Amino acid sequence: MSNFKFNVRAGEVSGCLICEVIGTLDITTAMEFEITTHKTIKQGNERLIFDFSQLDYINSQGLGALLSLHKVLDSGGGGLVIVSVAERCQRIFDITGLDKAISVYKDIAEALRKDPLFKVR
Amino acid sequence: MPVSEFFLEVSSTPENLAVIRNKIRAYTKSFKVSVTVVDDIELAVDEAATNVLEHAYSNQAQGLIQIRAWKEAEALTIVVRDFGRGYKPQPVTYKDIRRILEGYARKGMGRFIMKECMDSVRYKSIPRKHNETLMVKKLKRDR
Repeated sequence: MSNFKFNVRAGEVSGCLICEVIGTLDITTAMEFEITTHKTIKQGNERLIFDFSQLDYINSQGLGALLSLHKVLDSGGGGLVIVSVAERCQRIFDITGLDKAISVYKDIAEALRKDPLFKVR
Repeated sequence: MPVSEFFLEVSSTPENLAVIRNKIRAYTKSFKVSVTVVDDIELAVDEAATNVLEHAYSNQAQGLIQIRAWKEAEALTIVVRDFGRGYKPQPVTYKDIRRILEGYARKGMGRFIMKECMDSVRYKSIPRKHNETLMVKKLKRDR
């Protein structure tokens, strides 16, 4: 059984979904994460907030999945942001400079307040 | 002379990556080093083992992964060995990482992370014998 859970709930802004990613994002779970998120996108959700507060571990496989999803959403006029990155996962973000490609915020409130993706259209 | 040695042999299943991570983390923590050093070593070993699964064994579970580590003169040496297919890793630069971040490429992130986390990383393939990723990390103790 994989150490991975993906909880989705409607966000505070219309059309925005908050996705809690729980557990580990590595070779055992990255594909499941990508497929689950693709299903969410196909249902018409084009603005996603990934809450990483309960993500214990992420490696290059998890980052690869995130970048792939970012590209899909970006090309369709939507996007994704990441919030509440746990300290243990912050290191890989710093090493790779992931925040140059995907916006990372302290928490959901900051993302909704600051990111152009969530401005009411 | 090595003062403390570590050895682990597991089959090449994706589930065993968590076993590898937990064991190498516990071993590294025993040297009373900073959390960042522990995290870096765990991440580098995980990336090396992930490369073994992908490249050496093409995501098949029948292979073996051996991990050996020892501390000597305030540096930790870790060797990740497999008995599968060797490959020629290409150098990964910041420019390559930018292309990955921009979505134009996907390969090479793991090797870049290994290099950033460790003080040195070398890959050696001996055809029909084994392949090895040899990594060294200087240990700075927590004060």
